Amino acid sequence: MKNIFKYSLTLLIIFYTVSCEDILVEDPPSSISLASFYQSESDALAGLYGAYDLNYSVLGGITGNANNYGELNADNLTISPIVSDQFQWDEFTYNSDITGGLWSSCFSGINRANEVILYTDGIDMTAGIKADIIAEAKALRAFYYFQLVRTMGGVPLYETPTVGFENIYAPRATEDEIYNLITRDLMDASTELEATSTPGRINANIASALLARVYLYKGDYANALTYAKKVIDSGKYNLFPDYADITNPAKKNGIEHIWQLQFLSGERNHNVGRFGPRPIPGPYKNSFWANTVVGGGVAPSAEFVAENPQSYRRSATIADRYEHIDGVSGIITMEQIYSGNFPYYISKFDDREAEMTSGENSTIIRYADILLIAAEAINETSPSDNLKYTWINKVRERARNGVETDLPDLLGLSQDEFRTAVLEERRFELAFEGQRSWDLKRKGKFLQTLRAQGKTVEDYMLLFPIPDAQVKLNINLEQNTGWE
Amino acid sequence: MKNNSSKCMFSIKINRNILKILMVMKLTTFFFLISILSVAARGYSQHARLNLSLQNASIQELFQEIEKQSEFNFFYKDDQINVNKMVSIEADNSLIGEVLNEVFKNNDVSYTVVNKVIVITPRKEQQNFNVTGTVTASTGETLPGVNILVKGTQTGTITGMDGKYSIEVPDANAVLVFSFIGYATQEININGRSMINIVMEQSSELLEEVVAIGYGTMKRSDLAGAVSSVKGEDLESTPANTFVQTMQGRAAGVDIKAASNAPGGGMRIRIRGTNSINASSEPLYVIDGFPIENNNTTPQGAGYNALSPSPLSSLSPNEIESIEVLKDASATAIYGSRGANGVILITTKRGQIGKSKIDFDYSVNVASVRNRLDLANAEELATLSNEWAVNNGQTPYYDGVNKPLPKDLGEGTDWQDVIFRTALTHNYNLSISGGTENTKYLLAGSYLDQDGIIIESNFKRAGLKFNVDQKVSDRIKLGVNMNANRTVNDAVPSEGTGYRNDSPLWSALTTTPVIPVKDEDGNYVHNHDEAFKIVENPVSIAKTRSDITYKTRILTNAFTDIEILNGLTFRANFGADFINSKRNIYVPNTAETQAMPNLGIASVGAVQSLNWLTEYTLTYNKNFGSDHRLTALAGYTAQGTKIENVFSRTDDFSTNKFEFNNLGAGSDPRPSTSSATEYGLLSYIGRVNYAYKDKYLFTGTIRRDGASKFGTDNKWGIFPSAALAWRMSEENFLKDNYILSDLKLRTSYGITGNQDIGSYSSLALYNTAKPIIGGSPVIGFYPNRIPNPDLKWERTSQFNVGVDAIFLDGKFNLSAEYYIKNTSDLLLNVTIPNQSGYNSSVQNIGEVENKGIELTLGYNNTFGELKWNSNFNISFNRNKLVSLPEGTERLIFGLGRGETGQGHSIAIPGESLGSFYGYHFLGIWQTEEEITAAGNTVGGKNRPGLPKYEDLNGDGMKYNDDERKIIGDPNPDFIYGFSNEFTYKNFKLLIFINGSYGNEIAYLNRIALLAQPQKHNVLQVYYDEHWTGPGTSNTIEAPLSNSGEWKNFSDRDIEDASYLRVKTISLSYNLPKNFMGVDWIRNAQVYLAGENLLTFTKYSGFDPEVDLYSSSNVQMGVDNAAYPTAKSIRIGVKLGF
Repeated sequence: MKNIFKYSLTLLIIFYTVSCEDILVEDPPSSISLASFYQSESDALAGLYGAYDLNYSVLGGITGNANNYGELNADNLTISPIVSDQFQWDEFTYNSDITGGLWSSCFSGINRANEVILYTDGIDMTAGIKADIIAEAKALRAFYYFQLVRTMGGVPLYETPTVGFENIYAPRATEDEIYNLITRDLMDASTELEATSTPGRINANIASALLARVYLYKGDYANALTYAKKVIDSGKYNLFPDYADITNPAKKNGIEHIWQLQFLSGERNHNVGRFGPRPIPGPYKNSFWANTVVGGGVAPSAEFVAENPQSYRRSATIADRYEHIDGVSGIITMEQIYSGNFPYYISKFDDREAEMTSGENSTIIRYADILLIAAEAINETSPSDNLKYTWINKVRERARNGVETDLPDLLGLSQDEFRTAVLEERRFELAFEGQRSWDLKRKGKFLQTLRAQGKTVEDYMLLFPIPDAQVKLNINLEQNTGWE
Repeated sequence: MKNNSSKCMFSIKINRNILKILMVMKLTTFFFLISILSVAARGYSQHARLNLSLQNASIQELFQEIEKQSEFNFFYKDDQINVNKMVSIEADNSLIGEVLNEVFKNNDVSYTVVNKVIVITPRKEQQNFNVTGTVTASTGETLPGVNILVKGTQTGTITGMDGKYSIEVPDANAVLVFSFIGYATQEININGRSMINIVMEQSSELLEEVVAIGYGTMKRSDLAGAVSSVKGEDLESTPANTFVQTMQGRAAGVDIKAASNAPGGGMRIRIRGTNSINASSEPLYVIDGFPIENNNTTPQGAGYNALSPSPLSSLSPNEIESIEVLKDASATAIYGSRGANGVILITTKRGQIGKSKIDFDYSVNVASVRNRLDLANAEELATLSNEWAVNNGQTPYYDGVNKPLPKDLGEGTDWQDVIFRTALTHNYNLSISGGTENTKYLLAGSYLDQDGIIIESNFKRAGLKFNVDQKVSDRIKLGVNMNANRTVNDAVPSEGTGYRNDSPLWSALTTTPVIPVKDEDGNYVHNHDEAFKIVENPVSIAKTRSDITYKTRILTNAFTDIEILNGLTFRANFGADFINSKRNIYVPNTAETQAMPNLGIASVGAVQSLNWLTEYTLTYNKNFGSDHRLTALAGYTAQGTKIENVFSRTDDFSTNKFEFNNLGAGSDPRPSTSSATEYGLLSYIGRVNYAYKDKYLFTGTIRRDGASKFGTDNKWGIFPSAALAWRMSEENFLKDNYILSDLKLRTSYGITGNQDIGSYSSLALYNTAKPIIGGSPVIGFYPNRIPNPDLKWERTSQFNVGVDAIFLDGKFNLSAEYYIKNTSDLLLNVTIPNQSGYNSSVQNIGEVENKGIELTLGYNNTFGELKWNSNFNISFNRNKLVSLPEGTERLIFGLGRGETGQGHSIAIPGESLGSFYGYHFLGIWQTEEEITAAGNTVGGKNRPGLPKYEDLNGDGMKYNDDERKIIGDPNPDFIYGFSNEFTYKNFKLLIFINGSYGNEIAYLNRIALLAQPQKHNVLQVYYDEHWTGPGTSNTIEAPLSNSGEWKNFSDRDIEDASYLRVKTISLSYNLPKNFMGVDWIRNAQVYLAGENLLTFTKYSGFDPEVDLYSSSNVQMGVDNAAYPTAKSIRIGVKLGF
């Protein structure tokens, strides 16, 4: 018996010493884990690109979130009968899960930006490049927070990446706290970054342009003017001579585009269809029109059609007929397709060459917007300064395209008349670019405008709900008033 | 040859105390090699002929002459045999036996011939009574190594290689005791006979059965845990192509369902219910002591959705000796963090002591589809299409101008006719095995060629198996197992319905019968003529595309046992399971994908997987006095796996010549991908079995597992269990009871784990994003989750109580079990607040409970020449999800499409996992008044002629999430298996019945097949019973809806899937020994078996045994154009030599 123990013990000791605990350590051969990432400049850049990638889900190309929140939810658009799943946006019948996608996309973007900001700092690399990458990540973080705060108000504030489960139940911060972070981040970016950048990446001017937009939304006109002027004075931008070029795929990243979401033709932005071309509905499938695609999904509202003054700009924005794509003689009118219910479609984003696989970029902010921000801001801060006419008339001049009777230059308006004029100018110049709803909200005209259209909008609907699922998951999250 | 001449190659020094038989045994080490090389040598002594003419030669000369002429060698000892004695002999073409009998006729010498060795020993002087004879098994084979003891003495012998024995007994009235493992011991009164031939009956005594228990074996009578066994011979009597199929219904508590009946298709196997939601609930499979990984090793394929064949389909059922199913914690805790789902131990056949045997087995199986769906024909579908057009304000399609009128279309094409076929399966098995006390070997080859019942589907498997056990010395044994096989799966896409889903089966159900298979020029007709190009010609799919997966698997291990001290054995075991597979896909540019032209798609993918094992154990076996028996086990094992994947695809080929063999020839190359995954496990194991007076049995088990898959703070877990059993029948008050032969009560409790999740789940990994910057995609990395250093195994605690009883000396036996199993710390993909930047994280939250009862009843009896053997088992399992993480009310799984976008299967606390979740169908809206009265506006989904669902939240029928509820349960109330075997003379009849009661199926095919006749074909019943106006139908809607193919999933689509199936009827006949007039055939059997010939069910789909998403724990009982079950007839022959 003694021997038994002796042998057993010896062998067990051998087992123990030969045991190779190495095999319990995980080092994934085909993935990077945090332990092996953020080691070099190229890692920092890859992390930054990972943060940029959320732009696609936050804005979602031409027809994504940007337009659900900015346009469908306002007065310029209405839903055509082909797409039935978007009625809720237009009719204010959405429930408190509607913001789920925006919430998770923005917070993913914020977390990724926070990783870049935190870990890039520890990388041994060229100081200037390091500072640039961090500043760019801050601008992205600000951009994502701006989407959240104007949609839902104060949201949880994160300035560091999530590393464990401790801090994932943070409560909401105040709106001011969020705006403080946004403006601080964007200011850092506007001072740190270069004036120009590779198309798609943020530079100092983009940061300034975004700041102008943020301050405008907050009603801080002095700062809005300061940053809009910064962009104007940079001398890097101008209007395209032709209004139609702002959505021309051949003029991507052009002189007027300050920041665009980038697409490759045939690859990513193939959901242009909801504004632009889509298969023709109705009884035409066996006819000459069988293979035609034409605008559908959403349509310009009757008010938009009625109130948009005749101009080249208007004709580049909406159309009541569609010329056959092959150039074969033949024109089909919206009247024919929709029996008069939707006499116009949105032609602004048509890409006749690529149709459903259009590689058109989505514009996030462009020079005309900055001119109008500057004009609006100066009207509030020094109403007598005639620079406001210079800026707004530049936009109108391009829009009338040489037809002097259309959209004549403005002059001699009262401060209040100018307020109305600049808002209307924004409405038609930036039509369907995701700005309208925010313009109405910041000017306090949202409820009255939509009620005038016969929509049932409750007062509390100025803010969207916090996603219901998130409120259930995080007991510290308080729902917005009215959405409980 | 003289044994004292050391130069002789066979020289052996014979210890005078060694019995001659042992000497023979040692020699067989060498014979083994010879016999493997030359099987024919086996019968040498019976065939070799000698010609001798010697006058007054010495015996030594005679021996030399014989050695010269033949392959015989002589062994003897100089001091015992006088080889100088003179003899004379004339032999003309004589057998060795005739010669030797003549030579030793009057001598004091006897001889024994063992193959080619002749051992000469002095004949004993003692004038004891001599008994000789042959021991055979009931099959007629001779049995070597049988112990024969003169009762009441120490005198004994064992049978030789040929089953013959010779024993001297003190008197003619002595009693001989014949015993052999696995056979019933017999006591024979000599009664003066000098020749006694014995037929050993295989032990029907369950108690003597030896069962595998993981890292060892045990007598069934000593078991304290819950273990079911299925013997290889039972599997053989229900022939099937994969062993998992043959196990169905055989063991209580084991629920097996075919996931896909495609050749080589997967199975869902659950032991005592489903424990997990996100981790696997499949049992652990251990083949000959090697715990294998059941990973999917089918490479990726371009645009294909054929289910991958089950990894277990690589094992031929003919190679299996026995299967043990370890069910309770006492039995499975030895497998620690992998034991929670139960363990299936597969012991493959090995060589036995005895003459070399050759077994050959061939069968051909003829299969056809069991059932077809009744679909509309061309005229009916066209009529419905027109009706749909009119209902939607359009002109009829089939108007007699653009298209023919419905009445001119007739029957059209019956696509089911075209894609189903009568399929043949050929199955060949050949094995050669044999052995001596020192060396046992088995060499087996198998080949399976199985056609599926859908055209163009085929599965082939070729296997080669070899194992050898070698005794090196009295204390050292070695063994090697090698199992190599290759499978070729030539698949057709076969699973899943839905919009534009290309599978021959789904297309056969939905492609319009209006179009023919081919046009006049012999080209396939594509479905372009219909209003929407939806479904592709199923024959074109099957015939023009290729999807072939080759898989080579080598499972091999080598072990050595060293008996260090008496009772203490050390075992080292090393093994590897290597899998290499490649998948080739080509879709020619003449084919269409999703009814759209394509330019040619080619892809190749490969997977390589290596799973290695190192294992050291110490086993100590000791009896202390007659009352205490102890077996203790301690050990260490390490196991690791690495899997690598590559995939490459190119589109757009100008020629179809290269198929998948030249991806460079395509003009649209896609990015190639590759990946690799590794994981490992380190373990310490221990087990103690203790029996007191054979009455009180105790088993204690512990395993400490370290698993790489877990978080850095929780790498190691401890899994203990204990079991107690009381053999009441050993107590005095029951001991000599006539009725009750054995009675054992047992109970166990223990904790096991489940670690079957993906590697790296506890780490934050970086995924790749490709945003476009500066006009081209750039690579970005982003973290995919929060690291969870606390991540650990799922923890299952199980309590088991059981009783085993044997009545009337084995005529009846009964086993009953009750268990309650609680799984907590579920490895769940938990939704976390998205503000963290992440949507979910793998955490240990949630709890599932399974409890149940299992009953097994056996009956064995003999009525004259009729033997009747029955076995019935029934299992009741109740599954309940106890809790989910806070904030998660329920998890919904299933296809996301259209209005059923939220899925069909649910995990919600308080209900069984996988309960069906959907709307409650109330009928059809008859009038607009009815709609408005119910609080709805008329239009959209609420129109007369469309389905009406229950309004659960009182807001009218908006069909949102609030209107859904639990509408069915795929978990059966009970499952059962009933086998009946009748043996009469040479005939054996087996009737095997199995079934399931109380489970339901989500019949998803039906949803699409009752809608949109303008797009695709529909069920006949749609044409017959659809709504055409108020009061015409309250079950099937009008052809009207245009809101996408996927309608609301409701209880109308749930069907009772209870079934009772005569799974196998087989009749076999053993040809009489002298049938062929040759004696070298050991046995010959022909058999005829029918599979699935009779099924009783109410289910209206192809077959109630369907489980498409077998890898999901929550989507159960879903029929979504699954490859249907076949019924088949098999004819086979078995030959033994």
